[in-house]
Amino acid sequence: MNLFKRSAVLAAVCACFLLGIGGTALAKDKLRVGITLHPYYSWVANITDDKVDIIPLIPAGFEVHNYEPQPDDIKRASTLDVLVMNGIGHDDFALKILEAAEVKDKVKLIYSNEGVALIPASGSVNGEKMYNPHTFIAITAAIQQIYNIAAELGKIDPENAELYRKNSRAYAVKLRKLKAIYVNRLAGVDPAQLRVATIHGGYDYLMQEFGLDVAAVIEPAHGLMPSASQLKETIDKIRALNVKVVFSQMMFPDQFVETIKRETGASIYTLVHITEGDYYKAKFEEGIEYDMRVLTDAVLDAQGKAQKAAK
Amino acid sequence: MHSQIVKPATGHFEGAYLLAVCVVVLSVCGALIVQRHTTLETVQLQPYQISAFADLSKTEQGVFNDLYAAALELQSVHRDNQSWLSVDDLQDLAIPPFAETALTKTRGGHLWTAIPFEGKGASSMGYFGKTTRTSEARSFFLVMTYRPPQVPAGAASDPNAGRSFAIWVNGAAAVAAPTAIDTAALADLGWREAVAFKGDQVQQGLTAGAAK
Repeated sequence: MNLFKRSAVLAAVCACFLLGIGGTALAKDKLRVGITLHPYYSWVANITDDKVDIIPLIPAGFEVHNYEPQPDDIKRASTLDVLVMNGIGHDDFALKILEAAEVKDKVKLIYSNEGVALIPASGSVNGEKMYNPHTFIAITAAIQQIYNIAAELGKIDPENAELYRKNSRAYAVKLRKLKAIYVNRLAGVDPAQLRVATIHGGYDYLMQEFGLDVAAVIEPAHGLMPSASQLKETIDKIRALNVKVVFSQMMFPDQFVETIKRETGASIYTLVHITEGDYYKAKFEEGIEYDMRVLTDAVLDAQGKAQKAAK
Repeated sequence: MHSQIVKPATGHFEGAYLLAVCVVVLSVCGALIVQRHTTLETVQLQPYQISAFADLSKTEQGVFNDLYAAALELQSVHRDNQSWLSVDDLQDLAIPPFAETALTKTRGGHLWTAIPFEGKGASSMGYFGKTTRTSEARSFFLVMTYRPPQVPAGAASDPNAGRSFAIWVNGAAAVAAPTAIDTAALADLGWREAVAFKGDQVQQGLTAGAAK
């Protein structure tokens, strides 16, 4: 091999090596965005396309309401640049994990609810209005958060800020169209006339979007199962308020649901909390569409029954 | 014969010790409670403001939240086009509460008009939603404003800088479209600014205020 050929081979090897290093460096440059709840995974994925790596802070399959941090969470947390979290409920564990990983000062926090207009939770504690933290189970509150997350990510990653803003708007349009389909199913119906109860106090934002008033919440406190006497009180309340529809949720024990159904005669429909199962881009759309379909079915069924009764 | 007088076991000492322990425990706990006690502060509202959280009905909160989300959309569009959308545009884009849906009929049946305001270096658009049924919801007035920020040469600017919005509410049945958008003029006409209770205020440990 002459000198020229040797130099060419050496140059090619160096180029490959440098490209490899460069590639690794570029891969490392990709922002690592942690999320605490499933909807945030979907929102960040839709806002950023593939510009960031999205890392769920806790593995799929855990119940967020009573989550206790695991050792593996600390490993994951130590690799994050940013964490998107609710900040007003459901993910207090995140700060514990960041503290345990000693990265609380390094990881930039995006509180999705920072600029979101909150509404009171149905029911009250000592007559006081408490805010409802379930802003992730509704379209309007989701849109507010999507704009907020996009703006905050844009500040951290200015190079892609314009892309995030445009994507957030396109995603908001998509979600609004999805909601319009279900709102218009209720044409000619006045949902405000229907009294409903929910097992879990997580659906006030969703009910508000469809003009439904939640007359009672069955669980005595967020994420807690009712005792026998509390269940009896709720059943009495459902009867007194003439509640016709009760929205349960997956993972709520069947025995409670059956008792309520038997004792009150109310129709039971099951909603999803969108914080269960796998993390993926379309998770929020699928979950919220499921809930909107169930909700509008319930209203239309109740109206059909009311009309039959009137004849 | 040896005799010994044995005092009856009254438990006086034990009782006293137990009482002393109780006093110590209660004193320590009391001191800790006093030391760790914090008072939640309430969001302070101005006389012309009301709380969207505490002072609006559930129906009005629905309209308010739709307007709040629409305002974010309007800001984003304004960044691209340097203009505010018309009511027709908003309806074409199916943006609530401007677009008529099955819900419009049960939430006050607001009739929307857009009113441009220029002056004092700002470009504003007012979206006036006159209620047709005050029993369901009051009238709303969304004011979008863009005031070009003064950014020193070479300084990085916040892309949303200069853009702001406010949502006003009026319960008068005969309310007319506002002709001015400054706080004093609106307040004089009976408008009250509805202020959202937001997530960042929860994190600061504040509780929602209410109109006085």
